[in-house]
Amino acid sequence: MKLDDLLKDMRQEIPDNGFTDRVMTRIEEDLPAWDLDHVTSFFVEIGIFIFGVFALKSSLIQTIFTHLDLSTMGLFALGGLLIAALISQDMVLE
Amino acid sequence: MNSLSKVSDASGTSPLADEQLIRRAASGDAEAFRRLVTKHQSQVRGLLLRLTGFDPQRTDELAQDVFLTMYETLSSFRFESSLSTWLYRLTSRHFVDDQRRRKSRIVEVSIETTPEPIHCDTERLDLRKSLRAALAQLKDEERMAIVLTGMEELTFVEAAEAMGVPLGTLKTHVLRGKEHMKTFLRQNGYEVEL
Repeated sequence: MKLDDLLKDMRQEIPDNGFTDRVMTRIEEDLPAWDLDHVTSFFVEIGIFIFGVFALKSSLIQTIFTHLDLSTMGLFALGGLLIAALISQDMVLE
Repeated sequence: MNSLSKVSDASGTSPLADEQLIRRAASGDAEAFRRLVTKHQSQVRGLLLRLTGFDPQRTDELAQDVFLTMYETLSSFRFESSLSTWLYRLTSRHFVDDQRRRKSRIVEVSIETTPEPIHCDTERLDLRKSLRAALAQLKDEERMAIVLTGMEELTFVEAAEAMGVPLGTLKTHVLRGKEHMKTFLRQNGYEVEL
């Protein structure tokens, strides 16, 4: 007996037995839908950022933060953007 | 890759070439991806079954992971090799990573868990069990080299690429693996030639 022949003889086709369905189910359950949700969240972030900038520039906010300089206000804007990004990321994952 | 909600035109049941299916699946065609899984599941699960020492549960879990990775990375497939070769490489890496996590050098032999073809006679059945046991007692790299070259019939170059080792190392694993199998089988009453 040749070992190579015996090894080849051990090959056998594996029937699907619902395996493909299990894979497709896992993909739908495990992986987030990246495309549309991400596009949406991107625009939500941009929207919140623009709103934040305008709010900071408005006279009301400027009155409140009148003692703050431009760089401090910029930090506030960045913080707002970060929070918006975190919130939208949670929305996507959910 | 797009979400699975987008479904193909389902234009028929004629077999499509891998390249067409990959391109369609990478653009979000869930039906095309499903066909790829159905087409290649036997290759991936067959390889994993032999690598895991015929453990059907672990094989199923790992095979699912392989196809999930395939789903995530299919858009980066460059058609420089066949999908089969790419899947062999992906499967081998998944197995190696999983084995590393388990920190086990020798897999458990679960001979009874996978049914044998019903046409096997007793003597043949015993031989197959011994072959499985011989395969299972090999080191991971030896088993992988034997399975890829001896059972999956990849060339040495393809197998080396799939395992991510130099050609010379692959040949050494094959030779040592076969010698170990021969010794094991002799101890179990079977004389085989290399």
